[in-house]
Amino acid sequence: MAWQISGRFMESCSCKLWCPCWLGPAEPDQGWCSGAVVMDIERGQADGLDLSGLKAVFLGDWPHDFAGGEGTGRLFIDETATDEQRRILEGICTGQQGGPWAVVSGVIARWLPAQTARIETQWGERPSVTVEGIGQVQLDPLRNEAGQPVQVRGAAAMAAFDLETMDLAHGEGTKFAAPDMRTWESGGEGVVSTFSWSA
Amino acid sequence: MATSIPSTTNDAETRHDWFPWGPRSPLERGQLALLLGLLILTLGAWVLTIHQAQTMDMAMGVLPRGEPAPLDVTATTEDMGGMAMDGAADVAATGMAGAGWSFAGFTTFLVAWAVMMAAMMFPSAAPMVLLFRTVATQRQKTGGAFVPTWVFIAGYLLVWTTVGALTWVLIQVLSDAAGRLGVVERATWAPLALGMVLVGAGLYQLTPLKQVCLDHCRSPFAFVMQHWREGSGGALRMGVVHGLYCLGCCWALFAVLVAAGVMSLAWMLMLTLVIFAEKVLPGGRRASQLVGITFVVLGVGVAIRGAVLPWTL
Repeated sequence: MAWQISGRFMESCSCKLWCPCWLGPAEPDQGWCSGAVVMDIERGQADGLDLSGLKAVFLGDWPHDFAGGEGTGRLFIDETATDEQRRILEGICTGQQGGPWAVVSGVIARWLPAQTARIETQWGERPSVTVEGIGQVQLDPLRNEAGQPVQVRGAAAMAAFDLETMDLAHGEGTKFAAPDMRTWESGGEGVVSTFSWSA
Repeated sequence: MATSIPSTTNDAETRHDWFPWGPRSPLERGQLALLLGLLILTLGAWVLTIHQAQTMDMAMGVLPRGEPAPLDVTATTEDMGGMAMDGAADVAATGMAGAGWSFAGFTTFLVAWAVMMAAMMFPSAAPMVLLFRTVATQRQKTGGAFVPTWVFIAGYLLVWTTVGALTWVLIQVLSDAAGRLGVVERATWAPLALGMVLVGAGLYQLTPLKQVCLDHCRSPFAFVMQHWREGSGGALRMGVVHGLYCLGCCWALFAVLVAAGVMSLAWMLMLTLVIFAEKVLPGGRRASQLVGITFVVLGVGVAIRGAVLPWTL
């Protein structure tokens, strides 16, 4: 299967202002780690099947740091997706169809079954995502005195996610309580980026 | 409210990525083929290793010069066909570790060592090898050069084969030294030396260096994040670097294996399980510390002659 998806990306985890795991193996602020990755697909297709406009949210829990692995993951897929779109998107976002998740899924030892949910994203000054009944990501991007975003480039884990730059954000307000997963609130970490993936 | 998706690609409740039952995509089929290849290589290496252990009359450990080799009870005439018998006679004639500094002895040792390494290390190196292939495949699809996975494996084996060569030299030096001692002195020093190796290996298990190396081996993802290099040269370099971390993780265990007699199958199998538990199973850190404490206790017991190291010649 040949596919490509591109769109907007958010990440928020249980750490404080900055997630050290983006730089490589590190001690997370809480000792453990939980995080959310939002993929808002603007354009996408897989073997001709249109994936544009779909959304997926990945949740992960790790006993120690992200890179240390042994994680538990669950994927939430937009309820507007058709059955076929869901299957394709789940394959891509759990790494079975290659792409960045084939690498990132190396830190997930246990995949819980994917679920569908109403997923609403808002972009603009304060990007946010709500997974109905499960949780939310709320971000407040950092800006310098000239109003420019504060960016990171070339951090180790960005290569795994195939991201070029990320804008740092405050992530207070992010919280999740998914079935069979850790209930957590962000200490304030968040990033905003764009992705363009294919395999 | 979230609802479960009825028929998804996740049929089972859980799925380990390094053990992909029912591959559905080309990536997964390739991964399964690689895993099967590693499995066949591992089984083949074990068969060869068992054969070596049964046909070699000499233990590949430290033996004093001029001593008759201890007779391996499994290598009787009944066990072996004529060919195997001739092979064993050749080995005994050209000399294994106990027979001194000969090129033939060196190459025989190195081949046996490399096969043994494959048998013992491939199971725990499999997750790293599989992830290497995943990343290499992805790089190729996005415009990178094709890098065969065996280049990475070759770099890894290069490190351990070099260690084998150094081990052979060490065994020769120690055998020379042991040959200069009298029988009574040897009886005094042998258990002390073995005990000290065990205690040293046990203490090393508890050091931060061991834990750092173990963390690297336990997280192929972290390794790829930090050490990825493009191209065949990069793959070879990554194999060497991974091999060095693996060496930092396991050298003390192999010191015990050499001290216990390199061709002790029981120790080989046990250490293979220890390495697998440390590197792949949950709670590997605790397993490594437990093994360390066990070795220290056993080492003290052997040194003060309160215990005899089990499963040795």
